Amino acid sequence: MDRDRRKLLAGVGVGAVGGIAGCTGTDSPDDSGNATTTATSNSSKKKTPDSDRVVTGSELEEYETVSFTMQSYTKSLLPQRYEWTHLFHDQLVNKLGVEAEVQIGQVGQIFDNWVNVDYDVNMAGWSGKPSRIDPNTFLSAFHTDGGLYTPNYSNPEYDELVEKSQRETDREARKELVMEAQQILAEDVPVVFLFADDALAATNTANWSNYTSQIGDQNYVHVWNLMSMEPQGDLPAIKAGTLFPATLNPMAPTKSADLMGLKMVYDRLVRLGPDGQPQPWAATEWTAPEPDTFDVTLRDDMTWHDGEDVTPEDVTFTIEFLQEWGVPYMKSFYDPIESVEVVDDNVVRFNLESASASFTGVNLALLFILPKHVWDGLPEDEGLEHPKNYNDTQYVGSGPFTVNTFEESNRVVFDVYDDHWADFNVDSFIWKKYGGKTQALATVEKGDASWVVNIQPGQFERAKQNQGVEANGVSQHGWKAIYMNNARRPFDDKMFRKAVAHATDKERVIKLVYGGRADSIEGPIPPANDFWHNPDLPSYDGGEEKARRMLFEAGYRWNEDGTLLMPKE
Amino acid sequence: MNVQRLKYLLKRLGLSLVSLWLVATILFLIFRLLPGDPTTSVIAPQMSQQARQELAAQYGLTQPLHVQYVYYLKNIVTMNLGNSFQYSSPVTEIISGRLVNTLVLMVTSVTLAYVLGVVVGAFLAWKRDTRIDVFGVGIVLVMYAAPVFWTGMLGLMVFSFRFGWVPSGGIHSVTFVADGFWDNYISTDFLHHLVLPVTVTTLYFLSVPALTMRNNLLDVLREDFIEMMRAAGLSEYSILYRHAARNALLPVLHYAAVSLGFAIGGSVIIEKVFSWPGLGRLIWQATLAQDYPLAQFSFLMLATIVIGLNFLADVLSAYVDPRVAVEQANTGGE
Repeated sequence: MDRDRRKLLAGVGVGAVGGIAGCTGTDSPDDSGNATTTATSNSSKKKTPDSDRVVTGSELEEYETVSFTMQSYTKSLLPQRYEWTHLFHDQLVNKLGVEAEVQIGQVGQIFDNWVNVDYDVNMAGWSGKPSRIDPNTFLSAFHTDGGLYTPNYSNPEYDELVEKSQRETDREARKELVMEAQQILAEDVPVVFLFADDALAATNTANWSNYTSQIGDQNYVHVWNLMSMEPQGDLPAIKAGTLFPATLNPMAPTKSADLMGLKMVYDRLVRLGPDGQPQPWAATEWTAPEPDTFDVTLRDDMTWHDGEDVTPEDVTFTIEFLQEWGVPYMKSFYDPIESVEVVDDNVVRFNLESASASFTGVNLALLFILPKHVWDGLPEDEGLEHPKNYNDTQYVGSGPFTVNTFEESNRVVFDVYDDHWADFNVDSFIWKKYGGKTQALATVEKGDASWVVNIQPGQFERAKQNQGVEANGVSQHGWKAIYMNNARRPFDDKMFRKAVAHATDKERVIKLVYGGRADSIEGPIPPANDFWHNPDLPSYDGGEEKARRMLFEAGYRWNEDGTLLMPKE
Repeated sequence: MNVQRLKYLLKRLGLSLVSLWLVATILFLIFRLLPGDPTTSVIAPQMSQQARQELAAQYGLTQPLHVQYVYYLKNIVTMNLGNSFQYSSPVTEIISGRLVNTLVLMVTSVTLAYVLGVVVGAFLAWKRDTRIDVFGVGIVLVMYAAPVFWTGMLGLMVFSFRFGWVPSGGIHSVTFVADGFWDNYISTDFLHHLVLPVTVTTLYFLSVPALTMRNNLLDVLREDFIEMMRAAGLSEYSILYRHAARNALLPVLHYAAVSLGFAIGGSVIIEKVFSWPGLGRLIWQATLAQDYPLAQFSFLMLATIVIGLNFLADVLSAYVDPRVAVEQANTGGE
């Protein structure tokens, strides 16, 4: 957008961003449809700079305006993020005098831009999936070759630390490296780390008791909770929510809800415990004779739902079958496995392409075991292009639940598999889909469902008033950040990024948007992830004064209108 | 005249087919022009660019656009619609399951709305310019103006959340077990879930037939033959419902066919509010997830229904009112 148009928009108050600064949720630009709306701030809100920091006249030619676009999602999609995007936008405009625009778009566009690093600033967030508790996922996201999502940040020293931490199989020694890596990120500020907001949930305590929490935002739909839950009478455990598995074919998952459904039916060698640390499940123990070799001992009392025994050959078959056919969503979990073999009666050896300390906490905790006698040769026999198209499945797994009914986009009824070694107080687990969280919460309040997760703060407050319902905010390891493209000016300048961090008042936003229910963070591993979190990171709370002084010392200036200028390249 | 009618109907049929082909082509292009691509919704943070490519290849998206288009047209003609990206199962299977749910809700509502609407409209016309008429038209207009998501939420708040008379959504209780296919749709449990959404949508759809009927009837009542009947000593009731209403009904029937098509297509909001696992929500989700096969063919099916019902309305009009075919044939079109 050219300057004149921007001025015009500012003049007529398009976007009405100023109105949002003090309160939340009012005066929002239209966010309907697939259209992208942009909002421009009212330039008069910039501070008048100190006279010695102002450049005028011919000097101006050596400078250019600091201007950038901040991308975020529609209000209907992510209401809180929409709000804090505008709050932080205003803070940066007011405190630093930058020319910034907010660009609101649909997930297909903004998320894609984030993945492809096509942005100046992208208001991004990572959800707290269990697989992200191991520090490797989040640390790798800042590695130079970290694949997608890296904000074009590169620091050889950091890269080396991350690689070393992946080779270190001793947990305590690895922890040291993980702490150090967090320290580097906190000093380099590749992104402004904001906060980890609590996962808000409501559980019905009138009809069910003894819930078990797990950190992250997929709470309660895990075996630990289903094992501990005690129902009144013979009620099943019932999850009410908006997420829902699209498929229960283990060769076809394409989203996290699919994995959440599949993990009921198909066992994993390792399951992540309530604290997120790997626990024995189908595997009784694992050792790493070499950093790139894992020996996993299989339980010997497991059967498939059709009565056949689970054998180590099933495990080796699963990996080879996945690698042969390819399941892109699971690729990062099976790809690092170079080969897999049965080395002893009940021991399977995984030979990895390179050392991987996160192998048990991520790969083994995510990969399912499939029955060889069902899937071997199946695509050929059925004439399928890919086993993901197999529909007539009986869902033969070895997991704690069998599938009784799977009604697409409506509900799944899982029955406890009696021959499984794990014990449950419920006979079945029902996952019911609702059109919105309001309806799901109402069902929990009425006692027709056990729990609902990821509700909005307003719904949370309402649930708190209700007897027989417990509202609980669980700290989580997913987090939000202001992603700045480190390859674009002025974000390639560490001093500028630090100034942005100082000018960012997270505490205020936590109070306004999340009602205080969020942990402020300085690095990618939030306090909820207790074992790997580094509590001694430097914080950036210098505020406006400090930010402006840093910018001045780094060679930035202001014009008479209070707009921030950077030296021309 | 029969030749004229045949010519007219063939022309309408041809136009319908061309419209369908246009819709199909636009659908193909529009999804591919949207920002982002289908791998975005599948993408996992651990996913590498290579995995993403592999996924695109599995979806057949690495082929050139014109090759994809040819496949797409071939699929439509052979009715082999392929597999959904998200569900990995055949599109036809997914759509047909959802279509039943939507039809049960929408056909019930539209039928009720048109039966009740016609009666209400005739009644209002009969009572024209009285307080009942003014008041009645007011209420009908308010119901038309009130958005269904709002009346739906209001209904839920009052009758479900507060009084607990009806469930808060879905088509069955969480623990419902069906005895065979039909039990899904005739059990008391299902009817209990159906009451509120049907009431809300019926009230919304009621206004068009009611107002159309009222206005048509007012015109008809001014015609000479009504005077003749009065003169012949027929009762007002008999004149209104047996003679005048019949003449006023034709345009209403035409609307009925068209609005059924739109009701099926426009069910997304009501389905979202009432967590109704129907076609509207399916389309919405498929579009957001850029599930091309599913989204394209659901939209195409909706277009087929709307165009088909329009064609049907044309056919019916041509038979019920022969003037239509003659006039159209003579003037050469619209």
